[in-house]
Amino acid sequence: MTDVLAIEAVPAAEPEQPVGRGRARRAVLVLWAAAAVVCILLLTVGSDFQLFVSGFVLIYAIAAIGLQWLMGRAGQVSIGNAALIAIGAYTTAIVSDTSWGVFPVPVIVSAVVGGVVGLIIGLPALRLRGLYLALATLGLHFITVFAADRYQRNTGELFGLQVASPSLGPLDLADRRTFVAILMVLLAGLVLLLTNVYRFMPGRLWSSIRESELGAGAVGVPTVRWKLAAFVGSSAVIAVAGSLYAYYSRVVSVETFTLHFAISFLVMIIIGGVGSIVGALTGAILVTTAPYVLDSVANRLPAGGGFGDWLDSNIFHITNGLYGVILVFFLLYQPEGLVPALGRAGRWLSDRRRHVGAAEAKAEARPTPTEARETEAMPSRDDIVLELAGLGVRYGGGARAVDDIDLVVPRDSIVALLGRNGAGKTSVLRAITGFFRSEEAAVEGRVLLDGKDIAGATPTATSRRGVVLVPERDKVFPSLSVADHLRLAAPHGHVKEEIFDIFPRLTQRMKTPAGLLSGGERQMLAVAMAWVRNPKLLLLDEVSLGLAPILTRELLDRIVEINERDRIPVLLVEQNAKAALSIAHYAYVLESGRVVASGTPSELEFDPALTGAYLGTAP
Amino acid sequence: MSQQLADVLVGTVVLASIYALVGIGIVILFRSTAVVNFAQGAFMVAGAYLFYWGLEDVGLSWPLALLLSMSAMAVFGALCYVTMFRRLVGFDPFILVIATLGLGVVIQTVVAVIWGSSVRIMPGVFSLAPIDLPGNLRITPSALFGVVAAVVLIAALDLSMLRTRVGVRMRAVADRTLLASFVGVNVHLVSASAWAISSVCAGVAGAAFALQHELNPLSINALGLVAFPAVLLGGMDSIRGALVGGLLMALIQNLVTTYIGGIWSDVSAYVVLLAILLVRPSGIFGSPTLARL
Amino acid sequence: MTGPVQLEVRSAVLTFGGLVALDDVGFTAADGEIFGIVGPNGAGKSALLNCITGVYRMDSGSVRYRGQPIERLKPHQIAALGVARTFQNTDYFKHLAVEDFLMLSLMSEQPTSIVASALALPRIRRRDREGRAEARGFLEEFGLGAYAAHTLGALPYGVQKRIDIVRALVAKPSLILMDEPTSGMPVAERGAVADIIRHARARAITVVVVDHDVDFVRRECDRLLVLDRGASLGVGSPDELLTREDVIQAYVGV
Repeated sequence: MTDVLAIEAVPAAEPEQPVGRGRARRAVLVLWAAAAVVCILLLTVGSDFQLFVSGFVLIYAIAAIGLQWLMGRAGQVSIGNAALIAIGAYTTAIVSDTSWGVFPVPVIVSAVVGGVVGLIIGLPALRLRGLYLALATLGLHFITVFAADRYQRNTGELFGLQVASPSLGPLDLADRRTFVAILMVLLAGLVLLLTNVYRFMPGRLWSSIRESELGAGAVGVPTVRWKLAAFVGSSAVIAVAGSLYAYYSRVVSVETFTLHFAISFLVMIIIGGVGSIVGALTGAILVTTAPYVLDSVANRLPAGGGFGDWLDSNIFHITNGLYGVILVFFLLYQPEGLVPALGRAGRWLSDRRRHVGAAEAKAEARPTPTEARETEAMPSRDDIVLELAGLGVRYGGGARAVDDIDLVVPRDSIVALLGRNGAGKTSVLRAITGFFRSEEAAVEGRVLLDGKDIAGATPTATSRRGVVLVPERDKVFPSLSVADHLRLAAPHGHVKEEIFDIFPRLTQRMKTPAGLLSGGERQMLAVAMAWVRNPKLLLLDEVSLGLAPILTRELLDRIVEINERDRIPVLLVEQNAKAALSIAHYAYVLESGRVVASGTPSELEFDPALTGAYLGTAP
Repeated sequence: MSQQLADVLVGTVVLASIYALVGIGIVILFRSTAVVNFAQGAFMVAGAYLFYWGLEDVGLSWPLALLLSMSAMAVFGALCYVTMFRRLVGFDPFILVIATLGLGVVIQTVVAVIWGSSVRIMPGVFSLAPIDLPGNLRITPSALFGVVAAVVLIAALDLSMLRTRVGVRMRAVADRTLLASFVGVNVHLVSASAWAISSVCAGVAGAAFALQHELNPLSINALGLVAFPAVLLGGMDSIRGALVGGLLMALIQNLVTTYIGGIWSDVSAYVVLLAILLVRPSGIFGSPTLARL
Repeated sequence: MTGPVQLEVRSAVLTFGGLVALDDVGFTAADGEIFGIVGPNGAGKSALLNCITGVYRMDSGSVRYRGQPIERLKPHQIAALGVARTFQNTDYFKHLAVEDFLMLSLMSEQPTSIVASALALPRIRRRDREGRAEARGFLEEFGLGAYAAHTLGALPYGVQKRIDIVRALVAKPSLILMDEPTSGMPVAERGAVADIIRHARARAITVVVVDHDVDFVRRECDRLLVLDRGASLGVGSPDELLTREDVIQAYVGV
């Protein structure tokens, strides 16, 4: 297919080369080997204290991996994980007290109970998303903790439930070394099993739900069933962690399961990188060991005065809140998490070694667009308000909306930009007003306002320079009254008297919230609000959209009026070509992000390119 | 009116004024910055401790101490935006929730480092002896302070939101952030103000609560969390909703405390929360949103 | 019209709040037909598509697929009947690998047991290999084989959209609904979309396509439905409809 070749020749958005399968597999093997070495060292030469800490790291890692299943894989949020750990722990404490509660049985019962509770937590998730789901799980957290507290009071176990020391055949699991070894095996097994699950169909289905629930349903994924499956599975894993916690600490008490405890697991998977099991593991290690590390640092600092003393006397509070500090630090400086950042750094290093020569050669061969244009030497004219030179706009992943547009708005004139929906008109306007960083748009070429290049400025900055846009939708503030709109827009809160001559319709509606205005009145208000600001350049996006012809006419008359009496230049973007041409001095026709025709209205009226751009008869 | 009923009514109004203050802070922040501040309880703690510090350590009179606490909270709230949340604009809402949870942890840690974590008694600025009013109603001056503070602050906010340009700007940003910036509103300034106002509300609520009870970081923080079910009951994006939701939640909790037992008070709030979420997640006054494909 | 009726929409009415998005719209598409839905911005084209695929619930009206009423089914149930759809916007799955994205279409054929997957049973491994090979086969058939291991969101927009259409084909549907397959795509790439549609025709798949590119629709479609502000301006052959004065006015404006 020739088209394919043509596309690949364009160097647009060169796709990031995916990591080769062989390389990824090697990295995984190295990680496993390193983990095995660390585990063996801990079990053979590790101090009792190191073993003690590793036990918690391993248990919390299991919980974090369970949470990562739900959040990172299936994209569901939950603050209910401390409650689930509590459920596993209490189940274990209760079951291990019975005659049949010998070691693995309570863990399995906990998993089942956790799964059932997960199903219950999952039910609200069928209706709720994001924030509301988070609040629902927060409610469940408090209700569980309350129930646990009541249970302890009613049974008289005010200081917590004791858990019998576990044994498995000849193995005494109360021995820390043995129990930690078992935890290592369990964690390794869990990682292996889940890695497999994610590799095959279930993993794909959960990923699709995480990416877009609506979209997943539309491509045929039964989202309800798979969401519930993620809740059940993840909750069972977290409850198992709770069960192991009960065995490890030998006492289960409600004070452990605070909201802070729940947050610390969210912190683990966020700082590790929410997308991967390795991230959850890394986060669990970091968050669990950090207080101990800080503690030992504090102990080693010289006593007597200064920082050492301060740290020593406050160490309890600081280690308690340390995960909060770690979280805030990561959100600000490494928001994607540690593991993805390390992975990228690793790839960057190896790519650099290989491609450093090639990249440099490439950079030299391609002249920068501005240099190329400078030679064409456009004469600077005083009667031009806005000039677009080689303007291009590209969004996020590489969708190119506008390509190499040249356009001029002379002083005092009305210029129309025509074309059907999707031709790139709105993108041209937004390139003039500027984008916010969060919009992930890239602007190429130059946007000259009074000869000064404003390409890349933010909407706030361009609006200070006098560029005023009336957007296509959401053009008024629904809860603000008409008077508030004008007051907001007027330079010093002072609205010019003439407003009542130009927009008589609005004067009767001064106290009405804009949300209650009719479509035509909203449009009129939006234009009035723009006019009040004394714009240097007025940009209008689809002002006629959805209006009856008679209202369109009235609106166009107002636009002509403010253009003539206040000499405000207007760039009018319109799908309704006839309407726009009736008032414009000059017009450009846009098709697929490029200008396909331009001229005065009379020239364009008979230009086949115009109807072509709409009805597709253009070559 | 029976004494019990009269006490329930007064208790409801007193608790409702605290919820209203915290809730309005939550709603203002959510509407103008899309951040749901789960650290609101920690902000209450900070405000209460600053008030305590002004009274006890600096030796100010209560109006000055309150002013000190309010100004410090305003600055602190604005700083939270400038140093932290400005950089998190556009993040997944849940990440923002976790960010506020982390911020809450940090605030509580700092408070604990400075003042310790033991429970303190506020200086006796207002009496805890009830004043008798007609119809078996009785209220302590400390509780009355909370009600008056809430009414004054909310009235002031309401007036300034409606009548001043700053207020109009804040409402504009809350309605349509992008459009507001096209109209020349400095969105960063407005967001920082929203953070400041929200922090002041929480701080005053914390100080009022501490005056009525004691200076206990844990219970104040827990109260800050119960404010969420209250706000949700009214609707996350409606100021009127925050007031009505606070009143309803306070009534429910007072009834539960009086007729079932105080221990069930908080958990009843969360049961109500789950019920609302399942029946009408947008609350009484909130606006439901529509998913598009 | 040739062949038996594959899809029949009757008097579809859809409102959002007070806004009427669709007002008594109906059409039928025959087996193996390429049927186009066109109209200016805001005409209700995508709304109609979303009603057929079960994303929106109509206020009234019926949708029958091979005689079976489907207007009450959920999107995934409709998909399971052999109705695939493509997206106007490919943002939805930008973090998925192309291969995994395509394999979503094999949902009903591939084993989805969590336990069997966890144990990586030989059966699972074999079927997964076969599924991947099938997905790659489709990609290669349309000259997209090089992208199999890439992340969807990192690819050029036009490539993403073509991959999305291939994804619909992988499901081996008997009806494909395409939402703006050429929007935002460079003209040069539109031919590739046309190729895929012709491929669908060769396999006797019925295609219902919503598009702005009237030229594209005129060339590829057997018959058209023209919508304007939620109402039908008529059903007929492209040449007959696109020369009608009221249709031109709906587009160019009055």
